Amino acid sequence: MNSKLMIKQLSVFHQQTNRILIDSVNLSVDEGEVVALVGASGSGKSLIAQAVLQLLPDNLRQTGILNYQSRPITKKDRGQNIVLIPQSIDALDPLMKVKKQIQSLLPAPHSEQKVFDLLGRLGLEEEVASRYPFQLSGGQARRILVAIALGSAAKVVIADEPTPGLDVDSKTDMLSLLKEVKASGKSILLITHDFDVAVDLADRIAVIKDGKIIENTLKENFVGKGERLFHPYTKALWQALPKNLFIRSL
Amino acid sequence: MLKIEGVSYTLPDDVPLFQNFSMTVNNGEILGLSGKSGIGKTTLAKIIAGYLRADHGQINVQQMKGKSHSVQLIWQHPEQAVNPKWRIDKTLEEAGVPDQSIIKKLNILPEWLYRYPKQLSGGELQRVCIARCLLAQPEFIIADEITTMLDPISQAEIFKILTEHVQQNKIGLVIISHDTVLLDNLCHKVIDFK
Repeated sequence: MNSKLMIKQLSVFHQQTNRILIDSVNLSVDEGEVVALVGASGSGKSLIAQAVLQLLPDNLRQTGILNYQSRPITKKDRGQNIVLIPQSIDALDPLMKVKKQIQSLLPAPHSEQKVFDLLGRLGLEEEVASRYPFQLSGGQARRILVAIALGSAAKVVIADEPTPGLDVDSKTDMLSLLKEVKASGKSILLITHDFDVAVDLADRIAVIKDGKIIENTLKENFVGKGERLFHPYTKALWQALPKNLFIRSL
Repeated sequence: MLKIEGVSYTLPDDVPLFQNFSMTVNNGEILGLSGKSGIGKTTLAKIIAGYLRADHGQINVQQMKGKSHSVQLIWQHPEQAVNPKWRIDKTLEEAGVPDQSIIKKLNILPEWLYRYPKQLSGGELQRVCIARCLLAQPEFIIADEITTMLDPISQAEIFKILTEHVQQNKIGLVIISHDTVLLDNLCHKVIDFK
């Protein structure tokens, strides 16, 4: 198995109380694969991204094995081989122009042309490179965040809740950007509460509930009334979508 | 009846956001409002609920019960709609005497009452906000993208409770959402806000 990212028996505890927030999670993302991790707010899905990137808050402790290409993830891997597309556009440095911001995060050589090519690929004018983040629209800022991941040499991209509260057009837009990342051959771990986004983009969908992965199945199994799904909670999630049974499912 | 007549709103720098918008919501009617972001749906919601003043036009509420807070707005982000330093019990009491049947209907657990907003999940806190809205006994409710941040099951639960309650109590409901499939499923009529 050629897995790019492998999470084995990952648990996350609360330091003082020992309360278990993530319970023995196993998850792998193969080469060129998109795996979606879906769950309700408070299910612990963002903690998994934070644990992989060593970004957990100080009061939490993690145990388990995290592998990149079948060897333990090193500090150097994070940011170089594994990158994060953050949830909020506030992640851009407000005091740095777009060009410098992209250049500082790309592998050498940091040529201006490389930045322009990247912007062009995501449908942005060259002129955007000389702006500060506050001069960007929400859509432009999201493109920059994706551009940084796309232009990096990283083989694994973790997208944490990339479509929070976006309207249909912005969401479709973000989806096509992520498809561009997928088409570049990178593996993606997509963390989302939005089932439509998961079904649209992922090859495989893992469902997390109360810190445990209760189902990990191919996207194709999300059809009909969910007869091909294993766990009752996954079925309930699927049936509750407005396009399915919605309020009649309750 | 809630009647919105010829409402216009202009942003600073004289940029018109929308002009001459009219619509009518009857008691017991569920009306959907869809449209792209940035088009002014939330601004319209705030105008109807009295948080903003329109430049032109009128909002008329023909009250049946003669109450002062007859139009209630439910916001997209519940954590921004409550006082973070108030416990849930105080948050609910602000809207009037807590009616146990409403609290029960929204599955609000007794132990939540002694917590602060941060100690509830997004879906739980949104249910508290809906309870607060219903306790104020409104005649009209504007629900502005109230489930965008929630998982599908919480979303379905919230809309089931809300739509059943408004039908039983002859409340007019305006649901603002970008999800047209959701609106088609819940509303008597859907308006594409342009």
